[in-house]
Amino acid sequence: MYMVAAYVTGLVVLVIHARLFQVTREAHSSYFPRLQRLLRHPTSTVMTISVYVVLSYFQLLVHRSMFGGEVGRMWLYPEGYYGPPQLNPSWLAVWVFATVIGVSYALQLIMEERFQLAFPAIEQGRIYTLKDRLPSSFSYAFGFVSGSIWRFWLGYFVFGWGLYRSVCGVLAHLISTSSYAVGSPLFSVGGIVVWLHSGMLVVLTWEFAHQLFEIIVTEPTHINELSLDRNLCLVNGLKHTDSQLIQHLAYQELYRLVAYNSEQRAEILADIDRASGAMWTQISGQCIGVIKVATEQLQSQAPPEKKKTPPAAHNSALPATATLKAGGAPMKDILQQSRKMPQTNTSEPLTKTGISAKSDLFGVEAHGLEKYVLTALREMLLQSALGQRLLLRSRRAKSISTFTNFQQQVWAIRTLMRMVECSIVDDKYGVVQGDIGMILKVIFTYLKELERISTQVDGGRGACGYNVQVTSRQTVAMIQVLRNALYSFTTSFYEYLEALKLPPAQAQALQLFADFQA
Amino acid sequence: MCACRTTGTFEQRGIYPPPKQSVTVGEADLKFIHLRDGDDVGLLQYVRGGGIAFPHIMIPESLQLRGAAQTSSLGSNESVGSASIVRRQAGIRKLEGQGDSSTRTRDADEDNSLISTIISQALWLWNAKQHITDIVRQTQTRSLLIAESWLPVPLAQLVFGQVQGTESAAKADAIETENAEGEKSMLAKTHGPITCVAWHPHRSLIAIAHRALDCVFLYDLANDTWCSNILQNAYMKGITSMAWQPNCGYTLAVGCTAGVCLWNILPGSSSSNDFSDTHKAPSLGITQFSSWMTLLAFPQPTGAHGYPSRLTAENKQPLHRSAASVSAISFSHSGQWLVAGHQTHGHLTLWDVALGTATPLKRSGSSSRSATLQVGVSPNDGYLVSTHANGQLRLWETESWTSRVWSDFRANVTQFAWSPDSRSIYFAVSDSPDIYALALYKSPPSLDAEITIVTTFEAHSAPASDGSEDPERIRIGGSIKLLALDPKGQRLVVGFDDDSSSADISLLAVYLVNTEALFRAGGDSSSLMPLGYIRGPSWGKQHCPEKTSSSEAALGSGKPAKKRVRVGDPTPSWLGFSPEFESGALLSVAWANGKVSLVQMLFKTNRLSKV
Repeated sequence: MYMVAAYVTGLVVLVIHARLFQVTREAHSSYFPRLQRLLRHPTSTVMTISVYVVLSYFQLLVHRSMFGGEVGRMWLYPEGYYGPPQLNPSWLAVWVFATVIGVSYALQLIMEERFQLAFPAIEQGRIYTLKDRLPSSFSYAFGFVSGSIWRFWLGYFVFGWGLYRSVCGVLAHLISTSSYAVGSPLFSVGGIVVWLHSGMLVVLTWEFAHQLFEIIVTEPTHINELSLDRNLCLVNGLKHTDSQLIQHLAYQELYRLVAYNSEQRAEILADIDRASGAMWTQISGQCIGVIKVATEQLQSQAPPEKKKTPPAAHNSALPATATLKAGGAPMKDILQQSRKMPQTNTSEPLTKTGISAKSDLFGVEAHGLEKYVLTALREMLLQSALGQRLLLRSRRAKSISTFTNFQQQVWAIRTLMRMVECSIVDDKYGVVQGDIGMILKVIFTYLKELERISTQVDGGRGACGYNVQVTSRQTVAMIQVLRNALYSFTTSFYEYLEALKLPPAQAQALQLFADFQA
Repeated sequence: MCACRTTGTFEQRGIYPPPKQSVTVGEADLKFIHLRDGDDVGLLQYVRGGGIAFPHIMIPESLQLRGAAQTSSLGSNESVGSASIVRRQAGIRKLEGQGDSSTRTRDADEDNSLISTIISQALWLWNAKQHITDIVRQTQTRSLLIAESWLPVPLAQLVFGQVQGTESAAKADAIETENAEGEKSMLAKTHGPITCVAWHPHRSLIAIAHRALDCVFLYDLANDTWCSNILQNAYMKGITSMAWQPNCGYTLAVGCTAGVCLWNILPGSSSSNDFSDTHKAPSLGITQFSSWMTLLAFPQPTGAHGYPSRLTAENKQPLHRSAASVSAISFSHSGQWLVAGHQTHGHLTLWDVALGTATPLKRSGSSSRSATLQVGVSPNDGYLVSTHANGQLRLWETESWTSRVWSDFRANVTQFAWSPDSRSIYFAVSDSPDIYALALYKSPPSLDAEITIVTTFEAHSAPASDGSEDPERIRIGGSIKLLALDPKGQRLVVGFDDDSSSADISLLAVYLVNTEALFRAGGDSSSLMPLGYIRGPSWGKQHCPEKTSSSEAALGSGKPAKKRVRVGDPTPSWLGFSPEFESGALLSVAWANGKVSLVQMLFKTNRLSKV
């Protein structure tokens, strides 16, 4: 019976996830908009909370009916079965606990963006993927339930008696009840074990359904193999802006094909006779588009540069293109200069409280009355320390706002550079060769922007007087992805580097990679 | 398995081992040049043919690492004859003795310097939290000692916890050490100060891991220079494996008890120093560099075996083995992912190195009996091979990570090497003289493969090739311990185990490789053809206690046991080839006395075959 209940619950959870899942992360600049998010989509918030509370009641009901015991009985008969009944405090505590579990789990799903899909790094089948996730699901469920019990215990210790008396008072108006003194359920070890047991079963069911949904939805696809026009199908997927999920799956499939399927890779490069343009042009255009958007996003966050007037003579002396040396002497380390002179300016002017005065804390969606109310609320929050903390733009949030489609960027960069690397062997018509300069320019521009934000001194001075440089995990990871791609390019093209004609800035930057000094 | 393809023995092909007093410098024209007493006509021919007599790199058994202001001699560059000066990076590790406040105070008193005393006191105050912790721990220890004398030990532990310095803690430490030693012997049957060596995939840079010090030295072969910085960290204990990340500049992954320590080395960004001008190393830019380490541990240790949030180098406590402890690592050749095998279970962990995300591959059992011995990614990144302590050899394809297992070996598969075309693997099984080959008949992701024994090197006696009428007889062969295939796939070098009594384990056997023969029907040609022997550098005369029949006879006769002098046999502890060497192959052999010798093999290769 409990299995049936678990299946029903799982099905409902799957439906909820299917309605509310998100592919890219939502940018939150501070805690305040995270709270605001709950109110921005009140229907989905209320629906999620209600569904999880109802599911919690449902599973507990089934659980109680199976295991029985005093905890499962609503009424106690302290004066015998023919006397007036009294509300069972343990029963009430269990239902309150179920409510707490349901509400807190739903809130955590929304606040922690657990509806956002995490795409797997490798493809290894549903069973093995689920098997890999089971330990973390168990530990999460245990941690969540034990934490909930602890918080519930404290809350119920303070307000429980009042709640019990209130409910008894309401019931006394409906039926004749007894008011014998009964013990508190908080000090019953058996009761706590029941909470833990029931809570674990409930949350585990939700977690398994959650993991199962993510595994099925993000599983690498093989649509390409089934379609008549394989390359066109792939490109259509990449351009499918209506559904972010389909677009992500198309990037994932493209990355897999380029990495492992040399035949299809060569086929893409050889597919030049198309009315819509060569297949390589379309695919590289999509990938470059993703990188360019990310670069522009970073550039828009940069402070306005002071106008510099470089010496005219020096400027005119620069050649239009420069050639690289393979295995030459190390050049001047440009990155080293930036390391030695970290920029002290931050991306946004901060007020004395550290709260951004310029950025729109409410997002672009707020307007009209909502914006008026929120502005008033913001002014009120600024008066208190807690409010200032809520409005403070956290580093993690900044990072999230920059890399909303982090995984897509990684696939785009790796796919693009892998195709360039393999063009030495696969490119029969030389379609890639003409684009190498442009691709390198895009890559280096993005790398430069990432290094700019990673060298910002953001943490002030540490206890020992050192500059504490705090960088976001995503920024460093993306730099590593780009460095890996550029090193792979220089390794593959090492013997042909001298033939590349690049602008001096890019040639200098690429020379560092060729000399293993980057 | 095991359609046996036999090959001619070394003696059948007229190849005899070099005499014990000789040392091999290299190969030219399919012949190995053995030097004897530094006088050999073959040397001239070898040098004229482009051969280089590489210097030996020496790592001492023990090394006293001192502070940044001091220097220590690491090893001698034998060709130059001068000691290379090595300095460790300031700030990585505190000065020895600084961890103990009493030592510091005593030093200050001896110096009788007011400034020293003030600084010392300031430092003491700075570490006040640590001192309070020490006092609490001492109090706890005393309480537990008293409690253990009155109460049963488990009950005392339950009440007061396990504290360092107590009887129960000593027992626990002994068990832990015993387990660690047992595991170490199972995972790596190597001796000497060198745990492992790793060649940089694109530069002439060698990383050498020191067993006792748990640190990594970098040697630049381009100009025979040690890099001044030593990679050392409090978390990097019990090093088992090491690999450079391809296509990522200078990133070195070190497998150890805590997980994988990923060292990012920034060339040409040294903080300060007077050395940089005098010791330039082209590979890194300069001999000093900045570096930082990232610990990749999966699963994250928790509970009692969790890693402390703050661990200093003076903390001598060993890190406990956990599920995250790594026994073997291997990078994909694209440099995107890293595979780690573990000491306590057979699961593999796949790391996306740039993103820092781990994906477990749970196939080979979760018990310590299935611990991973070795992992290796094929050159085309299409396959992965892992060997386990339960005798399994598992072949994975890397697209959807399905695998195929072979487990009907007599013992564990300890060593294997991929051929450059990723179509075959040569491997050896411990306590066996057979060399196996696994041939893959289709391209990835197909797992259609077959295993054959390609040759056997039974232990036997053979006359030395010293040209005399009555040559000394040398016992060679036996169980294969080490195996390495050059990156061009033309030379296979084999080292023997020292468990076979009286065999000369300083000899390495070299085969010519023809991988195409594995795929040819009929079996008329062999995949491995004997080519010659490599003899390592002599250890010189050593005093060792008698343990042979003569010593037993001495004991039996009641006479006092004598110490006899014998020529020491160098034992190879690690074999590997340089990834890039244009004129042939460059073999590096780490010997158990801490010497790393480089043996050049000159041969011509077809460039197309390499591609």
